[in-house]
Amino acid sequence: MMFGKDNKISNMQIALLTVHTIIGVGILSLPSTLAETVGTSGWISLVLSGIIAAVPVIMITKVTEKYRGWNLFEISSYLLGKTLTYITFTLLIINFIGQSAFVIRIFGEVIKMFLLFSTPIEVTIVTMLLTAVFTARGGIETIARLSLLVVPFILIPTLILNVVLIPDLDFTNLLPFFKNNFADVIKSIPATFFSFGGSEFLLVYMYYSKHPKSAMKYNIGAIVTVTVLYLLSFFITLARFGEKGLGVQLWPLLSLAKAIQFPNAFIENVEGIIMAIWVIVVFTTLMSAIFVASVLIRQMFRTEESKYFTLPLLPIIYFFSLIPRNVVLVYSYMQVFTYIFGTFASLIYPILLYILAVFKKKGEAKDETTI
Amino acid sequence: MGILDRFFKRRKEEKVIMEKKMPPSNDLQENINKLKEIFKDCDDVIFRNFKVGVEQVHEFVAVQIDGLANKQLINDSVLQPLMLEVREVEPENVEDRLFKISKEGAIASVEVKVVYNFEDAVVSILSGDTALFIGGYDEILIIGSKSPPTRGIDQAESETVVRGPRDAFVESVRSNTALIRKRVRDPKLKLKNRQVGERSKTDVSIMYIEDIANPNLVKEVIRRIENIKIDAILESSYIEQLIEDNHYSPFPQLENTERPDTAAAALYQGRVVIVVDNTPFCLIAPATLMTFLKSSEDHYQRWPIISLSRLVRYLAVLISLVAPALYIALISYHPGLLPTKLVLYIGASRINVPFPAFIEAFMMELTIELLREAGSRMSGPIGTTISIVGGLVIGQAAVEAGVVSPLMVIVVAVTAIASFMIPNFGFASAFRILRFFIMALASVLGLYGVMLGLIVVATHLVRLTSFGVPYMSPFTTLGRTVSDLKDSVIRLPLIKLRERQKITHLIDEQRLVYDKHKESGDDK
Repeated sequence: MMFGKDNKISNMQIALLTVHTIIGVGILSLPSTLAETVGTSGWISLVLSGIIAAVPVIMITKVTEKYRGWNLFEISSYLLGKTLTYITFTLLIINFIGQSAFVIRIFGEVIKMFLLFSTPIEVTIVTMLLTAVFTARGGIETIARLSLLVVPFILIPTLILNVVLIPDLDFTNLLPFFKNNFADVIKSIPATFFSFGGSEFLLVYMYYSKHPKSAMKYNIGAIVTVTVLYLLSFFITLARFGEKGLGVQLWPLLSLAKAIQFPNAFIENVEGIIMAIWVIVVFTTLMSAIFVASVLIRQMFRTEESKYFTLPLLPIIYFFSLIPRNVVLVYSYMQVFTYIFGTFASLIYPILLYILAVFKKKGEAKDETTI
Repeated sequence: MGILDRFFKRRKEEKVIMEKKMPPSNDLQENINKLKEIFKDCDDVIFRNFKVGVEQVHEFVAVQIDGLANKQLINDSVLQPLMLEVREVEPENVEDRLFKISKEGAIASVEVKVVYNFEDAVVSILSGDTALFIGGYDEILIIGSKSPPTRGIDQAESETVVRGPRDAFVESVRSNTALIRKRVRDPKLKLKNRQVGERSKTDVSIMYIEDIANPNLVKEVIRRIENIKIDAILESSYIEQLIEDNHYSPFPQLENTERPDTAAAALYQGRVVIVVDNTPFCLIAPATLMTFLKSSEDHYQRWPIISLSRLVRYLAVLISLVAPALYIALISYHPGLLPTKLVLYIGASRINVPFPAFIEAFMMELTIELLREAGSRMSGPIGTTISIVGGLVIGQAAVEAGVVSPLMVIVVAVTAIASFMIPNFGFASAFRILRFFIMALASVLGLYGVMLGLIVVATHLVRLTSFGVPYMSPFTTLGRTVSDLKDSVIRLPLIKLRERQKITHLIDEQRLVYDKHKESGDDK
């Protein structure tokens, strides 16, 4: 209804939210990781990972569509039983908190390196977390609308920058398209796949869908969008730096921004614009993670409001984000963390739910009228 | 529990009101004494006793307020026929039918009604009507004679247009509703009257077009207005502040206008117009960011002109929000982001400035606020003189004294002009307040602070609703409302705007039927 919040969002908004959630800090380092491991055939790895990432997304959509009107806790305890659900929820919440911690740490490092050289990283982290908590308290409608509102502010500058970049690109760098290293490609998939991590957010988002029945094409569209964006960033950085040059960069997209030269322009240095976009991109990831974590905690403790759980998450995330001593350690910790918790959250758990849902009789699902 | 509570509470209140109502008695003298007791020490109340009939046996008393009621009308259409014309022929059985004859036959006035208690009669008298007490009857005749002192219809002062009607609302609710009704000749235009304010009993008219507006919206507006319990409503802003969704937001959540054409246009879009007595500003609900950036003229000019000025207006919002903050951030934190030549120029112009950029910016913004405040308290010509001369003198002197850099003056001036460009004053002020918030963030965290500030403002804006309608609609609510974008940042040609703005769920969304082939058929 029109008055008061109904806490339902459209499938389009869910898809957009998913895109924003998945694309976070991963996109910064992804091109160089790919160039280092598989060279010019990194795109094959991206496409394959995209296809693999679509599998849990399809499964999640099916499960949540079958049990529409149920929240994740209800679905999970119906399929897995109470005890297992508590364990899985704890793992999921740790996963989301950990992800937020890594994201905010990398964000702080980037800001320190490119924007605020003498401001302590703690200040950046706390202010960003406070803002994200403020937004996450607004609930699903707020974060969905915000993720739609920021799209033109990300898209238009990015497009302009790319157009300006064209003269600097050397497309022969993209060749050979098929390098004969298929074994390497397969080996690189696990690392690439985790850049698609975030599909587990759909488990929570889908509860808020207005029309869960028609969500499938939007959710697949979200994964396709992410794949296309990753491919574009890979191709552009590769064309600009070449295979060898790209491999040694830590954050090639940001180096790219530093190299952009506007012809005769008022702006000589577009870092400011890139940083502004970067703040938005990270912010959307962070607010989703905090929101989803708070919703899961709420469901676990079966309380009414999830917004009271957002602020207590702040010190926890802050504490974890400062554990690694430097950026290199951040990335190696992150790798270990995603291998354990990421695999569980975005692969094992959805597949488990799907298999159990297939074998449970459909008639036991809640009445259809309770959408 | 809460529902039950509310239910019982309402019942109780109704009971109290029921008990309070005093019915008049058959005895005229008793009634008049009672009324005189109520109007004790109110020397502007006129009691006129007169006798009617050939025999002069029927006693009448007319009560009205001096100045509020139209004396001429009462003289001509009540006293004249009753006192003189009836005297010539007296119908039979007058004794039994006196009230009926007076009401239906003798009084030559359009607006006559009967009330059965003193409270209603008193409210009517205080509104300017005339109460007629007739000996031997426990009913009171109310004759419409309202003619409160008011000014004539004048030009709008705050929302001027290059092209478009010039008339504006005045301080009387009836003239205002008439001005709207003049533009909507449709019986489906409904008007519901409520009296708000325990003491002021201000007339409030809620207007909407029945087969366009969402009935839930209308119900909600009426419910919220009926729930107001306040001593007095002096301006429509009282109502605005009492029925808005979020009382702590800097943003206005109802539009106000003093132009009848704007109000009529809003009615045709399925919105609800609230006309309040004693003020030329009426309210329009719901309002969104998009409606605040529209001007009534936007549909009177051709579309390319309006599209350009809309784009400039949206840009003005951004400038008025972040321009000084960006200046602070770029000068004090990231001079490297500016072109070398510009940095050198700024460095040279700031070489004598003894303050850091943010103090400079706050100082100038404060000066602008002082000038604006001084200008708005002064009447017309003096006010403008103060603003212009003050701005020029202070700006020029400050630069020459080396207290601020010339670039700072330019930034502040552009910001001020941008904020004047926003059509709605309350809406522009919201961005003015938030500007200081973002400036403070920029002076602590540079560009990153500006971004954080923008995100906080954006979060607040997407959370905000006006009567349940998202404030940022249609920018954040694609889907059903996507056609609203045709008339948002740019305005498409009128023939493309075939549907009404769907910020609420309208009953009838079709607005324009335009068939090109039909038109060219006439030529053949």
